[in-house]
Amino acid sequence: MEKPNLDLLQGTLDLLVLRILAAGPQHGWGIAQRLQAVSEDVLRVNQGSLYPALYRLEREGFIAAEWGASENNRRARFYRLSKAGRKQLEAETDTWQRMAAAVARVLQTA
Amino acid sequence: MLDLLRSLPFRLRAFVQRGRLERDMNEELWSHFEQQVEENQRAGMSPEEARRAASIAFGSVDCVKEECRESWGVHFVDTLVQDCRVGLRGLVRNPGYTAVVVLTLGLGIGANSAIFSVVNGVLLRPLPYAHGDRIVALRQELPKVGGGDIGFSVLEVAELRRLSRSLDAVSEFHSMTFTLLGGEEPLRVRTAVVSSGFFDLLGVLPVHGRLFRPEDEGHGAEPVLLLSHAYWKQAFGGDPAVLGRSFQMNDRPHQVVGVLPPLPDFPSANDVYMPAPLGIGLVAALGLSRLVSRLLFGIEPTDPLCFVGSLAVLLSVGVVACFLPARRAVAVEPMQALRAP
Repeated sequence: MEKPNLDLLQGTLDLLVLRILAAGPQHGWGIAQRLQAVSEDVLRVNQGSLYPALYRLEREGFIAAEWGASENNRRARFYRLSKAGRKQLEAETDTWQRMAAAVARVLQTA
Repeated sequence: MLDLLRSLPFRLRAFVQRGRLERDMNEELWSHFEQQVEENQRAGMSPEEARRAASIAFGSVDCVKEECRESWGVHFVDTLVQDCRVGLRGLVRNPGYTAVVVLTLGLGIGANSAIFSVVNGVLLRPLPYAHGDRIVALRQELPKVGGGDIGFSVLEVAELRRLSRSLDAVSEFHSMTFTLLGGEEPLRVRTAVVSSGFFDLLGVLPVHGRLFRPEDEGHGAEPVLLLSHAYWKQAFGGDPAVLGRSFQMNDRPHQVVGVLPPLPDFPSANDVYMPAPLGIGLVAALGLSRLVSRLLFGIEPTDPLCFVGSLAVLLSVGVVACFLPARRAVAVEPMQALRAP
């Protein structure tokens, strides 16, 4: 249970959620699991951050929610990326990559 | 701003369907929790253990819910409601203060609406005459001898008519009270004495009969009368047969030739109208005529000459207004100014 757990930078969670949803509709639990799995257990998100982030993204119109049945036939709220969300994802990815590259350069050379 | 606009549909929905949003959230969080429990059990925990571990992982449910609600963006509504409640409680606690507040607001709103209704009626709405925006009433005053609105003499009217280039047409108007004889009993009537072109200038057409003609003004013309709509209804019950009837006024029989449509009380309310006699008559002797004119024909507010002219007038007024007090202030000796009480 006690694995290295990085606190996600403000705004980073939104970006990651958008990226996961770009692969297809997913419910909250699924998003958390996927994030954990893809980041090889480095990134974990708790419910207190995930759901507010989802509602925030929904409010901004980047994602849309719909009730549906999960894999094990449980009622779950599925989130899907909207057109605006796709654009936002592109923009945010770009920003993130430039920022990461810049930070890397500073760390290497300064 | 753009963000707020984009999220507005959601915010509105969140505000209106607050209960549904809350239910969705509860169900969603519960479903998440159950998934975690299931997952834990699959990992080999006992049901109780799985539940406990899931609870710990979840943390404080209320905290999570509160953060979720915050991200709906309806928090400000709640805060607003709370603020209103506090305000109301404060008002209830201090009845004196409340009374002052209510009175101040009431007076302020009342005064504003009263002023607006006057301004709207007097200034904003044009007179319901043809070219109502170009009709002006001319006044002549002698402020130094205390003569307010002394009217115009017949010669002055003629001069105005002849020489004025900004006035399209000039018409006399004055009002006095006469006694009308010939009905069932003598009646005091408010009588307007007007030029024959008065109603043409206003663009008014009669309801019955005809208006004044130029020949009604001439010497020895048959004296004629027009009835105002209100007076016709009130005194004659709106009977068209009143046309052609004769009434004694100023010791002469006056014949009713027409009935006017309902008109606004401008320049003043009147019962009957009679044409102003041409030349020297009662009107000229009293010198009480008022003039109603159509002003500034063909000149627009955007006319450059007109604009520059008004600008120059305003500028010179401003300069004079600054210069005069300044000169006085300069002229006063400092010692004198200090000695003044």
